[in-house]
Amino acid sequence: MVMKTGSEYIESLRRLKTKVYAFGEQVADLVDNPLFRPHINAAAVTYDMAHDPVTEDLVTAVSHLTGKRISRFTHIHQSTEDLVKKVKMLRMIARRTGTCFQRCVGFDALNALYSVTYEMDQNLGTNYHERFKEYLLYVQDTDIMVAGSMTDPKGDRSLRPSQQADPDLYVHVVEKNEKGIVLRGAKAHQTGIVNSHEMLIMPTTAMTAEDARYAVACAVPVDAPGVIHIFGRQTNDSRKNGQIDQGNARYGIVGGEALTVLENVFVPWERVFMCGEWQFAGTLVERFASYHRQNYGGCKGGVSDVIIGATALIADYNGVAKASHVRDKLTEMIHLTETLYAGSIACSAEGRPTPSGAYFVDPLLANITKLNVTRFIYEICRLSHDIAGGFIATLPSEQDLRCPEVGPYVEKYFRGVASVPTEDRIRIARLIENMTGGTALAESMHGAGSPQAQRVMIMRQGNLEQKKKLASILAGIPERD
Amino acid sequence: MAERKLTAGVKYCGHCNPQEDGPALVRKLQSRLPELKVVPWNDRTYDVLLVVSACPSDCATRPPFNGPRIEIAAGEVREWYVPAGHPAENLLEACLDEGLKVFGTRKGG
Ligand SMILES: Cc1cc2nc3c(=O)[nH]c(=O)nc-3n(C[C@H](O)[C@H](O)[C@H](O)COP(=O)(O)OP(=O)(O)OC[C@H]3O[C@@H](n4cnc5c(N)ncnc54)[C@H](O)[C@@H]3O)c2cc1C
Repeated sequence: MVMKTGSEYIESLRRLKTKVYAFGEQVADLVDNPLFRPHINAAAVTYDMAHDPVTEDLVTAVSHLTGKRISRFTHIHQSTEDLVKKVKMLRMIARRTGTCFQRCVGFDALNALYSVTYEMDQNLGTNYHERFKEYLLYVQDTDIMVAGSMTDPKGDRSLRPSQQADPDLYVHVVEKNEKGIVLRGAKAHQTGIVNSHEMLIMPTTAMTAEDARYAVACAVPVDAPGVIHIFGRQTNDSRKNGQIDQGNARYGIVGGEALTVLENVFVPWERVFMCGEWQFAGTLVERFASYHRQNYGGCKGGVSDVIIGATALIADYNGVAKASHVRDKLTEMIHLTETLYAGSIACSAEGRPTPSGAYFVDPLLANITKLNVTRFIYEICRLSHDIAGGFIATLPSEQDLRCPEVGPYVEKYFRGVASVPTEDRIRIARLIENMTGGTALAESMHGAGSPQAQRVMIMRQGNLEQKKKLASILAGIPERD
Repeated sequence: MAERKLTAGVKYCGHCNPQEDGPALVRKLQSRLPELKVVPWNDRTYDVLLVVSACPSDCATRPPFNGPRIEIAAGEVREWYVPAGHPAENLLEACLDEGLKVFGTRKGG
């Protein structure tokens, strides 16, 4: 079976026994619960678009292993064209959903593990790559959704994994036997995990020999015994009844993140892709992080396209669209968005093959793109708030709009230009509110790593010595040993 | 020109940030040419391949196809190969009637 439709994906979730907690209770029916359904809908778009003749060119690819057409989300990049198409795909889908559609994390984990297992085998004589290829074939054939599970809770950030007061603050191996390994710990901020089929666990940081039992990568079904997900609150999660106040009722905001606890979870050897090879933990983190940072000018570019559209509409509705400062601010929003997109395209076009044959982005440009996201999205949202006006923070509820007693006042006093219905103005205001603040905004800062993580990689790749040399030559300073 | 059914296999670029609405253009071409039947490029055999990119970067993947082809990007016929007398000439003409410009010098046909 290749390439599920959106409804096949949704139905497949019903067959899982995923243990999810939210608001202090175990969730019985995940798929039809309004807390989760918008995120499920967003992920389902990635499946449907693979079958849509208008979008399939971006959302599908040809497997280098089987020659079959597969979802691009399960593909290993074979060229810079593949890398560019990934970015275009992310922008295209984000323009449709206006939010995270979650599948890029697992996509990046697959690509990172593909090349790093190859390099591990070359250097250490292990046999992970063939094993990983078997897993990849299974993922491509079943078109499952895979969560990318890197971030550990980390406890005291100044201490290494093996130095933590509680060893479970980083995922680690507690037992090895002839059948497999047993894991303990947790992964934090797991995007889309409650509506995924499997999770690809990777270490969160570079390791030393003392941390060897924390150097573990493997695939685990999200409903495996011992796996418990505790769903994260979002800024609008008590607004699930009704259509307007959520802003984006169909697809939600961000990806629906969870803390995933691993209580002595057994993983068979066929699904283990790193176990103790601490020397390669850092390489895997950097490989994954660079692929993931590549994405942000694509998906955030698409999300920003929607924010810009919403902001231009609210300017129309408020009667200020022709004001020069408003046009200037919209221009700035477009400029920032396209700058982000340009970074993602550039790091893809400058990609190169790894020894495994899989293509990798230019890591310097990918990190620069994500660092820009930590600033530009905030500025885009600030400009949107500026143009929209204060009512995005003070609007009464949908119930008040519908209330026979006060509804007419809401209708009357929240009207902008006479030709536009008040409800349209409120709907766009709520979309802006939900897309530009709270949970949605913080994702731009920390998703794919906090800014300092990008700065470290930028400095490492920035070729400072060569820049010093350039300056010395022009200044007439002779070369010295 | 021969008056017979013409089936076009259509390949769209993916429409990540479209400047033109590809499906709308194809619908307009169909309304100009009632004999035109449109199928996806991977559907089955067809008489002519129609590649439609929605912006000038023209990044639609070109499927392998040895027959006549017309490639459109953002309001321009970028390239075509249609042998004289082939019913796909009607489609090419419909593109020009629809206001599409010819890009650069004539390359195909
Ligand atoms: C919406 C969202 C979705 C996400 N999705 C996923 C996902 O799907 N999969 C996944 O694996 N992860 C995911 N993440 C996690 C993301 O990668 C982390 O949030 C990020 O790496 C930062 O880690 P942290 O949140 O623990 O913050 P912290 O590491 O606590 O960082 C907070 C601050 O402390 C600084 N800091 C941290 N450690 C040190 C140190 N040792 N020395 C000095 N300063 C330090 C940081 O630079 C930062 O300024 C997601 C995050 C968000 C917000």
